[in-house]
Amino acid sequence: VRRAAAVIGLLVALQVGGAKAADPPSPELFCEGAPGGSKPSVPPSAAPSPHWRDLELALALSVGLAGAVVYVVHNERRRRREDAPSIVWTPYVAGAVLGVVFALSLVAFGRPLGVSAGVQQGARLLASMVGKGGTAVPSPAGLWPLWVLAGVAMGGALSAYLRARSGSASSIVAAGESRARTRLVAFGAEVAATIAGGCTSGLALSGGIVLAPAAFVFMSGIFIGGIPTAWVATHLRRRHQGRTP
Amino acid sequence: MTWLAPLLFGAAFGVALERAELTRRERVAGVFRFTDLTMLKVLLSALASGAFVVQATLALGLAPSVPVPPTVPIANLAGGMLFGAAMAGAGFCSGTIFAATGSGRGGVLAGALGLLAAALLMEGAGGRLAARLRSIGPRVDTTIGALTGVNAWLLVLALVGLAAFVAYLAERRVPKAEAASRPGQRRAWSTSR
Repeated sequence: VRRAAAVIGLLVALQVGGAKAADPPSPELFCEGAPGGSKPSVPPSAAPSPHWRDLELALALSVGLAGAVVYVVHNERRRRREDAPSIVWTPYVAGAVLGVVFALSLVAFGRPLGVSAGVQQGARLLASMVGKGGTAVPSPAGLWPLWVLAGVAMGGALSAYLRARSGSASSIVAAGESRARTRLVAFGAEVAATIAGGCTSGLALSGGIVLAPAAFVFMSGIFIGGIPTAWVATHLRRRHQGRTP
Repeated sequence: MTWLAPLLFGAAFGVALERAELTRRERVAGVFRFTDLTMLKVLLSALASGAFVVQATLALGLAPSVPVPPTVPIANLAGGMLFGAAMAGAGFCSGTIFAATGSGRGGVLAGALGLLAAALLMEGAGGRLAARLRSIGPRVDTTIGALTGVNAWLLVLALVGLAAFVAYLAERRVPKAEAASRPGQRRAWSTSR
């Protein structure tokens, strides 16, 4: 960790040292689809060729990521040797898969994978069907969020089915849940996603991988709101169980 | 075939969520109690790998551009706080609840219905209120790199470093605490052996 910190510090120093000849704001990213989004001042075709520093940083990152991949694979193998056979992925493998899937969706189709957007589109279609406002049914290409939503449900169900067939315990454990509370909290989550402009998938992940400030502000908010709530919930539960903290 | 790509992307998303066990309430709620950092590990790994792929694709010229969501700090923060409170209270977010619907459990389906009810509300008066909230404060339509003038690769490197640091801390501290509380049980997965 110390060595990694030293390497990162060196690279930061190099970057700060060369900051006077600051690279122009990255011209390759722009906002599309967002109402009033800005366009780049430099069109992509006229973008400058990558600097040597970019290549050095990319090379350093590639080496680091390759090392991380080797480490994760090594750990996976050791874990499988030690434990009973399991089809659970480690968080790092699942995260890497998610990152690549989200990135491919953005670079290949220019569309984020947002679950809340799918719920909103479903509600809009429902409202238009019952004649309570909403808009006309969009073309199949315009139904992207709804198809993503269907895919998430299908993928989750398929994986749970395969897990059950393999004899592993179900990952879905929801003992003592209250349906009314769940419905109420889900309601709040969707309202929050509409205010923030997306949920964990549509804003935090899809925005975070393109380095949008909104994603990091949203993620900070999640922890600022979540940690005190968890603390209060834990204490209330203990008190309810007769074990005053 | 315009439906196939989003369906496949969504399916991959759902499989990854289920395989990482993020469909378990304890996994999602545990991150706010610092008892289970799985969600944080998944999130940071996804950000690091995704940011690397996006920057590499742009640098190689395989994609001319990518969309960037607008930043409205007050709405983003307020929405995030409410969303975090909901996640900590219920132990799921919008994605994980739909990935769990395949189980057919009543609680999960109740959550999906709650999401749909809120979306219907936000189509009407709630939507106007949200739009009003989103009009408060400044609005930024660029990336952190463009905003600060810092090289995008350096930001990706910082993200990878943060993910590695959090993973190191999580693997060192949490399993030790778990092992101390259950002395007879072997650690499933640790780096410090």
